[in-house]
Amino acid sequence: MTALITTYSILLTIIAYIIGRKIYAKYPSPFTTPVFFSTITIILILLASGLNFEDYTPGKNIITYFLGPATVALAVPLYKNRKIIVKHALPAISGMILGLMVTLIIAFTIALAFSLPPFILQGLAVKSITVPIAVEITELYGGDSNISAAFVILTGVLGTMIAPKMMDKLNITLPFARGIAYGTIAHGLGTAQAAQESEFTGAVAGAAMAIAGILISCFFPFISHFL
Amino acid sequence: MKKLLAFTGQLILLLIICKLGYYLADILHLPIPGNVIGMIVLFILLQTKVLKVEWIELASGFLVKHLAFFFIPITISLMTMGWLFIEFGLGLALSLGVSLIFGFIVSAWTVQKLSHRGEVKQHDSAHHNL
Repeated sequence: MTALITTYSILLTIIAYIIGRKIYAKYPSPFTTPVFFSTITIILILLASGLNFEDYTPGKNIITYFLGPATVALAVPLYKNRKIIVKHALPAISGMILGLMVTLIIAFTIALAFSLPPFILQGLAVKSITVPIAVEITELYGGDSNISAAFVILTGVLGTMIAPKMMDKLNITLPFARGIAYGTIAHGLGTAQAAQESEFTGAVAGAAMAIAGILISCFFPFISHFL
Repeated sequence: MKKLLAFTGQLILLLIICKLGYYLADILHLPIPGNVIGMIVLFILLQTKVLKVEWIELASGFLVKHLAFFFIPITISLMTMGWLFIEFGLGLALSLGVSLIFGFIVSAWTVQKLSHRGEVKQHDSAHHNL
């Protein structure tokens, strides 16, 4: 029975994702972004099938197992775009570091103003980087990786929903700049969004996500002093 | 069929590099996650020409293109976190939302202002066929 439910969960996820991509390609809107659409659909179907998150977990573990090699695979866009990134290293790194600093300082300030507890602050510290790295960092420092994953995902989903139109309005049109911002602030989901804009934007975002992950990994011991 | 075989082989190679990353992080006591070490290892292998991009392009291209898919199950886990949002909803929503908006603006705006527009645009079109 478990095997059946696991197969069902995985198939459901794949089909929801494929349909989500098709719908987004036809009717691009914040509410049809593939992850947002698939998540809502899957949750509703799980509930309608009388299944809960526990039942879905074995299937979830199989799918997320591939986040490891997927993170390693980010070396490829990094490698392919190494020349343009090295050439524009100064703007790229400045944008990444300033963007990460601003997002973290604002997140912490608001969290402290609302006196949110420390385990939430720990999750917020890794919210902009890709899930596999965020989860690993939180576990390395004894935090709750489920919370981190939730914040990372919310940031990614919100990012893909808000950022494209916002950057258009602010006249940020340079694909290199958009790619860096997508990858730095909204990690994998941002990268997926960037790839929809153009292959180049996606590649830059992939590289930025990789570098942002490395930056936060290296600076986390320092950041954790403030938690 | 040949493509499927190549894909599987490449995926296994990526898995091995990932495991190697975890192993290195463990024995060297690095404060960096194993999968990030794996990514750095792969980058070095590509840069030193030990591995050719073509040897892993199929699987890595697929994984990167569909990265969002692998996040969906984690997003589903939000269905168990209602309590978090009931208890801390407003603060959390503001913290995540406002920090996201300003992070995006500062990051993108800095890159755009500091880059020489024409230069990157030229580069851009040259890289479109990646």
